[in-house]
Amino acid sequence: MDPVLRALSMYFFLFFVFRLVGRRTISEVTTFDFVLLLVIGEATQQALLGSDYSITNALIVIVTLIGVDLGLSIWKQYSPRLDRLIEGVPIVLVNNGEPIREHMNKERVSENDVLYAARRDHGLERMDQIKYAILERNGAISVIPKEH
Amino acid sequence: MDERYPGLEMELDERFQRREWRVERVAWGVMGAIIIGAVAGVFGGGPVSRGRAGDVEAGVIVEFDRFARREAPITLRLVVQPSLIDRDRVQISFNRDFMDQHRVQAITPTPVASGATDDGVEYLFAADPQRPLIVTMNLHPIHAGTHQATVSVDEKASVLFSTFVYP
Repeated sequence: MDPVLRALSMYFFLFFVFRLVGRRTISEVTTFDFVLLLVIGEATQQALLGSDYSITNALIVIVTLIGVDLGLSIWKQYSPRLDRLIEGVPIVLVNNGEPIREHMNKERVSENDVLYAARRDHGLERMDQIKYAILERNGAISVIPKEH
Repeated sequence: MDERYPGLEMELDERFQRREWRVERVAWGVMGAIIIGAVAGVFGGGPVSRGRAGDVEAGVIVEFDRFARREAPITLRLVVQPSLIDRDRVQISFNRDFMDQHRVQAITPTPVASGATDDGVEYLFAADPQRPLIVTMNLHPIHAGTHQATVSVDEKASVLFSTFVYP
């Protein structure tokens, strides 16, 4: 019972922490974010395994973690409310070339981030070439260019 | 579709988003409070956590950790005043609950003898009636929860205190 409780409590703790810190995709992590993730993993490992280094304990912990994840993903499929709660909702950052300041500030996204996504994905040069920029649920910025 | 963003077929929910931002800000506050609390010792090992029971008149002083974490080492310090020491041996006993909840790593000075009693464990220490006896115990809490401790010295004085162990 103990390994299952450990795995469950760490799963939900990490879930809440990362959910509440805000979104950022794995493709957009900086080198330091990556180092931070490694350190968090290291700190979590002790709490997950305790002083029990048996293979059985590791198996129970892994199966529990993957099980909860799978369970939640199935539940999400049937409950749009839970889906929204877990994944959040997308938000418009730029409307017709006009940045929506409030949304950008609250999500800690800068105009540079939006322009970077516009350059990278569409080769756009200026804000006024963007029709919509959207911060997706996974933290990626999607840019829809204006039609010429 | 949202009329503010024509042509954009996407499920937007600004009310939910606003609620999420509010919850986010509260959670940041909670995280800050956790950090400040941890520095103060709410989770063990800080000024708030330092506990003291008994007094010089009673003859025994126990310094303990009010808050501890499971499997994290703690130190219990006992000072027995000379007024309680009338021979070259002092018997200190601990209640069963406390001994069941902690694993004793080390006791300094080493007790001359130890044994089980009806309601716990007792240790016999060599002592000098001229000087206070200071005993240090290194312990590891085994279980989370609130633990009541009773420490008695030669059945002449006893001190009660409680500790809380985080999982």
